[in-house]
Amino acid sequence: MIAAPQLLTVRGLRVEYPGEGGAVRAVRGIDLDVAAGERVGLVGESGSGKSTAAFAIAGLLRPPGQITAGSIKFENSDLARLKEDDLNRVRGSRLGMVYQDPFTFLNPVMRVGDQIAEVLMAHRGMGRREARARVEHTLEQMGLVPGHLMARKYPHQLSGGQRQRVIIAMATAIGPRLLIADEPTTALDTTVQMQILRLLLEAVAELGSSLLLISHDLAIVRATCQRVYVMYAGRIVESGDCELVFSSPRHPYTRALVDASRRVPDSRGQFPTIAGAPPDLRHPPSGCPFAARCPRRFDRCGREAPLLQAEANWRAACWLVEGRG
Amino acid sequence: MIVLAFESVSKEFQVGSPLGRDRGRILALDRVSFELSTGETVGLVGESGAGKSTVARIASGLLRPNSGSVVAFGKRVDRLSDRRLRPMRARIGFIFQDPYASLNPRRRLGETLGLPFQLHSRLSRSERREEVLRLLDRVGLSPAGRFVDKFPHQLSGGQRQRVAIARAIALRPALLIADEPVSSLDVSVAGQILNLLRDVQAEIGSSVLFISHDLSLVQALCDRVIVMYEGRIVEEGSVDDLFQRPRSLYTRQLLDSRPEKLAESLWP
Repeated sequence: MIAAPQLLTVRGLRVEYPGEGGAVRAVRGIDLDVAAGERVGLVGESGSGKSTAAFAIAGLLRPPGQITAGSIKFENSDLARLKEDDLNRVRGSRLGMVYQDPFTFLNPVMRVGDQIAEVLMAHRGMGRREARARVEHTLEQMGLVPGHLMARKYPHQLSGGQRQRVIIAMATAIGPRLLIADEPTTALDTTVQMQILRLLLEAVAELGSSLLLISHDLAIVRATCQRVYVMYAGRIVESGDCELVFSSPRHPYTRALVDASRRVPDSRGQFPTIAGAPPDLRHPPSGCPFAARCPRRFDRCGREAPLLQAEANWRAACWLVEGRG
Repeated sequence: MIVLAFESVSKEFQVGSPLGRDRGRILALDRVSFELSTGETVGLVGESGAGKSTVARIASGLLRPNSGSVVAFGKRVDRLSDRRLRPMRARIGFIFQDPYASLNPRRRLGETLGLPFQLHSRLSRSERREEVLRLLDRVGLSPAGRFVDKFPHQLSGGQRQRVAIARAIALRPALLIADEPVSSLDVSVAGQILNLLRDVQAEIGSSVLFISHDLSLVQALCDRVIVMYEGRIVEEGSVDDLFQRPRSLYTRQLLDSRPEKLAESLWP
């Protein structure tokens, strides 16, 4: 197998939010790769750092959040070191972002067609007339028909699903090499969720671009992505081929998360849960972050738990993996 | 025994501002009929805008229907005066999706949980406090003495939902209405809340109207399912029937978008 060239290479990324009582270490040294044309998932529960990581990668981290270490190699540049202007250029032309709540990222007093046209004129050098024509076509591709009428709508006149279609239209209009989608369907009804996921997958396939999908929903990642990273307390605890990771997780946290996500009661009629709570990220433990809640912890877990190779293309930050290969 | 019965209930809402161009009426409920028996858990499924929450609000007398009849515990809820509704409401416990929005941010937990007793019982102040502590313990917020003076913002999402459950069961209601009780929680926490909900239901022996979009949950928890679409009941039956022989197109779409079917549905 010839490996596809890497498009995104994140190494040792750390993100902190300074504040009273100490900085919150939201992302604590993660490595993450996305190859050209690859669909990669980043899963975790709230507070795991997954969205912070995604926003840091996209250069959209909001103050007081700041990258304190690490590199984000995207194509030929290190996004962690680019100046705002250069970052904007990359973001506008090579990297698209789809957000959980499209409403906050759309201009409420501007027709959606004009908002998409603006992106096309700014980043693809189109004239107004050309952009207009392109907008209608794009909207219709996104299932917003008829395009010329939908283009004249304001965001509040659209349903949640329609707004998400507009955001996808904007994100894909620039023909990005990488599309980052942060919980793109969380606010939507289940049947609409499926339509939006289908649309995302079609858009990515058509552009030949890569997808980094951030979600708390394992089923969505499993159904859409080829590879997955599992985050917990600011660290990657497991990564690898989606089917392998989700069907036989090696890290006890992934195992517990997979069980809880199935929402099927056990023989005693109890829904599976994970006892305890994640650590305070102002004072994270030095060893494995899951140790305090882990049913299988032992002495060594209090020290660092490195990402160990479980199999080819499969790693887990757990000492239990050692010696099992 | 029938706890709750809707017969041909319709509800219309005005939408848009009275002077605006978008003004109109929407039929939120269109001749909805169903019954809920003692001890039964019924799932109410549908997407946003299908009318699920309107059903819940009409059942508790918070909203009045335009037509049809609503009978709860043998009384016509839709015809009762506000004063006579009050004792009825004590028999219905509510649990909402977002515990933060449903708990008063300025009240300590002790006050929030003492309120139902203050309104609906003749307990003394010290007796009320004892009940509150007992409730906190029951929902796993122990030691109760440490939680009783806290404010909602000092709690995690899961803890807040425990408070919401404590408030809902305070008066041991005959009917619990749970409106998407775990959809805003992480999966690891959701399991704890579901277990608690099931345990307290068994203890009290109340009927449950479980409003959810999550079919796997409905399958695990409910005896019967009602599927709503655009204000109408499009399907009703046992959980097994619905999963094995869905009749309406919408139910089939719902089944196809379940997590375990997602991959199949996305990659045909």
